[in-house]
Amino acid sequence: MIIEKVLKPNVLYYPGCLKKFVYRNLKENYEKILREMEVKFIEVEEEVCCGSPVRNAGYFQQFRNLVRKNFEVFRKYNVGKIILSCPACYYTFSKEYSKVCREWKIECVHAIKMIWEGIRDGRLKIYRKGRGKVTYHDPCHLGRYSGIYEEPRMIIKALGYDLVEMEESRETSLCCGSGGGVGANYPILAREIAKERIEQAKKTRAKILVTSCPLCVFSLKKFSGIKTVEISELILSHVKVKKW
Amino acid sequence: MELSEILQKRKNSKRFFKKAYYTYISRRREILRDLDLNELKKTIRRIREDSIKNVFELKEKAVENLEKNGVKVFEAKDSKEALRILEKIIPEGELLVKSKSNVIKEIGFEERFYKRNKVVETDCGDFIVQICGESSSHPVTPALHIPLEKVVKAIRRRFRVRLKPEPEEIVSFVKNYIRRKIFEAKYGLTGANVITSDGFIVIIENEGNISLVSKIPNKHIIVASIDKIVKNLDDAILISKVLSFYGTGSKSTSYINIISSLSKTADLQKKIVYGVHGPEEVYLVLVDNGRSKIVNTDLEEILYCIGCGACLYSCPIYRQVFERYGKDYIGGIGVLKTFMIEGIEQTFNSGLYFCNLCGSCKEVCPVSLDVPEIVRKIREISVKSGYETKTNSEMVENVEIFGNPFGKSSKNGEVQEKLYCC
Repeated sequence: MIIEKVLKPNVLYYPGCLKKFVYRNLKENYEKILREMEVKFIEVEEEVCCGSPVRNAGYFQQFRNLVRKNFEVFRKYNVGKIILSCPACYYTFSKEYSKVCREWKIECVHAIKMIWEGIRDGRLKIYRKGRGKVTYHDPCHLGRYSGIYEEPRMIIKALGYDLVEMEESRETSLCCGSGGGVGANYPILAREIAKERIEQAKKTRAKILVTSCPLCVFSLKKFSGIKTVEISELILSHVKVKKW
Repeated sequence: MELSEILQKRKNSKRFFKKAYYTYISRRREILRDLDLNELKKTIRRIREDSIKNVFELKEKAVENLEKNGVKVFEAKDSKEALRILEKIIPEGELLVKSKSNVIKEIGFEERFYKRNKVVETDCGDFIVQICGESSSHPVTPALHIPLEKVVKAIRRRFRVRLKPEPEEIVSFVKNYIRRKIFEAKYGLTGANVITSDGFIVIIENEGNISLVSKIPNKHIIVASIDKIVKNLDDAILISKVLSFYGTGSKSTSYINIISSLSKTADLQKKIVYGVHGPEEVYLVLVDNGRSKIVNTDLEEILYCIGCGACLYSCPIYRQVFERYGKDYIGGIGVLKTFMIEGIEQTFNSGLYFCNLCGSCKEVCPVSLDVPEIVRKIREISVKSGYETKTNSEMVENVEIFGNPFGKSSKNGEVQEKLYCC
């Protein structure tokens, strides 16, 4: 038993900075859902930013430093697998880390894939079916960068909603406006783009706009006329979880 | 100009853009539906990779073959040299008819020659842009953003002619004016879409102005960048077709002009006489402007661009600020080309940090050009050269000190005003 504990690599849940420091409720949502599925995971304090914004802004040396730091932290905790719920962190860990850190071999899974499997296999019970039209916004890092288009859609449908697509979706999805540092560097520009996306969402006559990235939520939530939610919020209003 | 001002000014353009966009998208979708898109993209990508990797060899052959046929070829290492060559060919004050060309814009032709000579733009869109005193908002459809009322007003002011704000009436007036000028001019100036190493110059068009500009005046001058050279006519025709699919959403342009020599006849006693119905002299100015420098580097991919402009239609930033994103070349790819041509300072100032890195351009691009990845590389160069935004340096400092991009205050869980993430 002790040997097993020492040798068996840990599974880590990495919520990402936005969920850890800003949208803490979203972090808790994913923790609740994962626990309900009886996924055993650890969380660590010492981990740092995945480096995505740093890399995107052109600070490659600083990015390599972050990769190194995280690698050391994960090694210390004997992490063999990371569960991620933020699209940019997921993309960066799964595609970019091995390019700058040769020893990087940690498996990365996106929580949405696990949640879809949980719903499909009945480990997550839907106690109340949703009704009405819902549309889904593909975050760039989850869709185009990582090729995950189906799972979030299957979840929305499984929850009982009528999924309607915007005129630009999947591979041709329109960015929420904040990506690439635009949200922070040129907020008025980001806002105009978000407005265009919201118009597309409203055109579908959906009552809820669902997305799966905390920054997209931040970007799109500022507008009235349609309710914008992160997918974990939608899931938790239909799936019962035990109190912890 | 402040960003808020640009956004305000471009509000109207957005309406026109949307209309044009939907027409374009549905046309393109229809054309591409019947094609094996993956196969097509792979082929085009391969052609572009091969031509850039062998650009010096192909250029040598092209020059040799064209000169054999009487075309006078000049090579210009930069804009300055290109302008000097053009000034030698074209006498001051001479009437000059010109068709649309990005590289002619790139070398700063307008600034120099609009004053030095009488220059008439013969592309309908460019003509309108010119008389309205506007700037081109798209490489293929430059007058996309100008309302018809404004066009009619400009024509009334300039030519004292009253027109209804209807496309047919405007085109009819513009056509007659331009045609007169083409017959008057001794010098015709065009770009080229593709040049082949075996000596063909391919120029595509819909309006027919290029056919006239390249044939009616006595001297035809072609300006093209070295990355336009491919191996043979098969490759050139395929690129021309794809340019049409992606550039305008049409199956083919109305005309594909192929030029290999001067106009000539040997009908009288087998003596060759040059300049029958076409020009007596044909010049080709090949412009480098930073291109050779990036061949065989990790920026080489910039040169794979065929210039169709499909990336702009899907770009979230372009849709808001149009030609204010980039410089002589527009959009994310425009920013990259600005770096290639003018270096980091100009690039930083023409929207290097505008890109959302969303990747929608790469998705639609016929050569799958990875603009976001090259933008990151150039941002790295920018940072190393000391050009960074204040917001970014704050963010990096936060990450280094606190391990997250928001800094210390974020610990209390309040939503930050500036959420630097993604």
